[in-house]
Parts: sequence; C-alpha cells; structure tokens
Amino acid sequence: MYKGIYITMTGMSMRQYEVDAVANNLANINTTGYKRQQFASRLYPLLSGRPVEPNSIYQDARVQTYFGTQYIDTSQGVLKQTQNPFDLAIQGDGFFAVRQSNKILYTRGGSFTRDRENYLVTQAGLRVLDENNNPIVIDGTKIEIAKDGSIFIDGNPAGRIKLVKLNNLRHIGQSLYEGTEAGEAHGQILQGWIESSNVNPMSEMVQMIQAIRNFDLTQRVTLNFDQLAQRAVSEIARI
Amino acid sequence: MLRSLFTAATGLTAQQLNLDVISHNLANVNTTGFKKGRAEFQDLLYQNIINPGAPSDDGTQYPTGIQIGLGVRPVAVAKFFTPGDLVNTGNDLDLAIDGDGFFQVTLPDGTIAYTRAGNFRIDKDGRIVTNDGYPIEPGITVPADALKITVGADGTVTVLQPGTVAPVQIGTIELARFINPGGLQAIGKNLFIETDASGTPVTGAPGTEGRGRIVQGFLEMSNVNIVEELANMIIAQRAFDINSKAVQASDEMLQTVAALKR
Repeated sequence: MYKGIYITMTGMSMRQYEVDAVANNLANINTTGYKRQQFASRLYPLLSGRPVEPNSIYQDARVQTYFGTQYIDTSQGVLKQTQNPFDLAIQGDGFFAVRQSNKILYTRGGSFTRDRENYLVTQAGLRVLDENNNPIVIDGTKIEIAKDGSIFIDGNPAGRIKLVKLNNLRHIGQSLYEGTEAGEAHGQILQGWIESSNVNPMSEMVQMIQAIRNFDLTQRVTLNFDQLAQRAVSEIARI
Repeated sequence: MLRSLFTAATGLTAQQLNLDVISHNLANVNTTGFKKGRAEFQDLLYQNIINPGAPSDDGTQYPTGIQIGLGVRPVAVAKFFTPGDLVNTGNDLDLAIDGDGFFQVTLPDGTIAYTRAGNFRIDKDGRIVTNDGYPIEPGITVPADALKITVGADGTVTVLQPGTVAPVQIGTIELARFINPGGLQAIGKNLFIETDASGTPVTGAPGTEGRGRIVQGFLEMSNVNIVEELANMIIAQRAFDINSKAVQASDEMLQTVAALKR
C-alpha cells in the first residue's frame, strides 16, 4: 500500500535505536573506562535496490529510507586521581589485555586489584596480561608502575603490562572488548589514576532531544499518510 | 517494549548504589580505622542487531554493525586500604598501625576478626579489649597495679609496677597481613573477617614483612576524603538526573507512538 508509511516506520525505529544507544551511554556515564557508542543513520536504498542517480528527476522515494550504523568512540575519558596503586589509567591509545578462560579480551577499565594468589586482576577477577600474554604476578609490598607499563616490585623489575592497539573493536559487555591486535599502543599508563567514561552529558542530551523531535516529526508524517488513506477511502469515492 | 526505558532504569539503580556507598563513606568520616569503599560499574550485555563484519547488500562488510547496549551493572564495591591520618591522642591504649597490617581480636564465637581501629581499653579482668569488649589476640592481661603501659613499635607490651624500676613485659601484640585486603568482609563495628578472596592472614611481629609498626598514643582516622566524596556525590546525583531524563524521553516516545492510531 502506501510506501510512505513503511519509510517513516524505518525512520522511527532508527530513532528508537538512537535513543537506546544514548540511554546506554547515559547509564554508563560513571563506568570506569567505558567508551561511548555513537549512532549514525544514513540513507540507504533498502527497498528499491536501485542505486541513486544524482540529479535524476525520477528518484525513487524509497531511497530515502533510513538505515543505522554505530561505532565506538574511543576518545579519551576524564582522568581521575585516586592514589590507589592498583588503579591504572591509560592516557592516549591502547587497551589492557585480560584473560577470560581461553580467550584474550581487552579493557580500558583499569581499576584493578590483587587477588589472594598475588595475580593482578580486574574487579571481575580476570587476570591482567603482560607483554608475553602471561598473567601478571605482584608479590611484594611496594608496587611501582612506570608510564611505559614496566612493573617494579620493591624496586626490582617484574615484567611489563601489555598495551595494545585494536582494530575491529566490538563491545561485549562487562567493560570488555573484542578486537584484532594491531601492534603496540603508544598510550601511557598512569598509576593511581582511573579513566572515567568518555560520555559527555551535554552532547548526549542534545542527541536525545534531536532523536525525540525527529521521532515526533516522523510520526506526524505517518499520520498524514494515514489521513491520505482515509480520504481516499471515504471522501473520493462516495458510493 | 522500549529498550531504552530499561537501560535507563539500570542507570538509575546503579547511581542509587553509588550514592549509597558515598553516603556510607561520609557517615563514617570520623570513624576510627574506617576504610572507604568505591562502587565499580561495568556495562551490561549487548544486543547485536547487525553483527560487526556481516556482509552488506553492496558486497562489503559492515565495519561496526549495530550493537545496542542494555545498560550498566555494579560489579564491586572495592574497599581501599590507603592509610588514614594519624591523630595524636596521648592515650596509652590508643594504638595506630603505621603501614599495612591489622590488629587481631577474638569474637565471642571464637573466630578471629581483624581491625585497623586501635582504640583499646582494659576490661574488669584486666584484659586489653576493643570498645565492644572483644579481647585482643593473642590475649594480654594487664596487672591491676600497673602504673604505666608502654607498647613498643615492635608490639611488645610492658608495664611499670610500683616499687620496681625495670618495666616488665606482659605480652606482644601481633599483626596480620593479607595479600588482598580488599577481599576482606566488613562485618561492622570496624571489624573485618577473612574470606576466600582475601587469602589467609600472615601473622607476625609488627615491623616485619611489610607489617606496619605500632605507634602508641595515636589513632588512625578514616581514610575518607570529604572533598573527593562530595565531588563523587555531585557526579552521582547528576548521573541519576540524566538517567531519569532518558526515562522521560522513552516515555515521550511511547506517547508519540500511541498517538499514531487515533
């Protein structure tokens, strides 16, 4: 029937995804090392399957259909000083590597602690890895971690924390990411600091308002299509 | 129905927990030997609408796909055992630990609890006890006629009795140390008990193996920093506010949808 209704419907559901993404960013505004999701919608020839010809008079309206995509904004979060020796923040690029059963996952949430077996672990108990993908053991009382990740325990060198660059980044929850390693990262490790999320409340609110107003507008267009249908049925053909 | 509504609800719950922890810290700002906590959060699961790397219609791959996060969850209230300020009280039985380590006290049921609060007293039987009457472990009994009690940095407790000039040793205070003090379970009354996460206590004389020295006549205050807590409180409150806005926004969208069909 009216393709307009279906076009506006996709627009509305994309706005819904956008508000979902904003809500997730806002929910994680206080999550250590969280990287915000940026939603972007684009025009997509979803229904017509025909490429857009610029300047052509005959353009299929369906080409206007929205389709969304989303990426992880890896910009720096706010650094906060805590003076706790196991709090590590990364200034610049890079991710910490942690082991979850037989997989290596990545995180920016550097609020670590030491477990009963002296391993350096995340708050969820995952072991943090060194350059050679071995878990880091911290056995001593005075722990110093240099900006390049070198660990000194009671003054003696004890390995180096792994910091990697990642491609194909993907959120998997629990402040962890999946990705493909792309060499050593150049970020610096700051001991006694943690990185807050990089969610900016102002821009999220603006985005939320935009999404809602857009949703409203699209709804009105849908209503217009509905009215058109109503007229066609009840007014044009009076039988 | 609307995902964002539930996502925002997890945000509200998380910030409420955050405020709970901050309030507890502030309530104990003047509690001897109190150690502050910090709520730690993680993002929840992600729903993959389009898997990253899925083939697109044009024969290319979606580099990121659409992953919708479902909110936030608290993962830990981490305890921080950074030292509190030492305050001079001049009281013989006020003891502070300069370094890591815990005093050991025996609970009425016989288990050993650990504390950083060194405000000890003498009960009617002459035992050195906490303010709740729990005796220090190993137990030390002070003779009734003791004139002055001296506690050395190494934990030796000596008393001066009338008619003598040489102090007499009546016991030694031992300290316990944990690999992961953050894993200790707080049971109130300034006490902690051992858990599977903390590791087993390593006891010994003060000043050895990283166990701190004992300082007599001093008390360790809480390690709560009011300025920091108030800043955290403001952040938590604003985060709560902003999540309630997300609930409002979701509500508005639902209203709009409902208005579609008249």
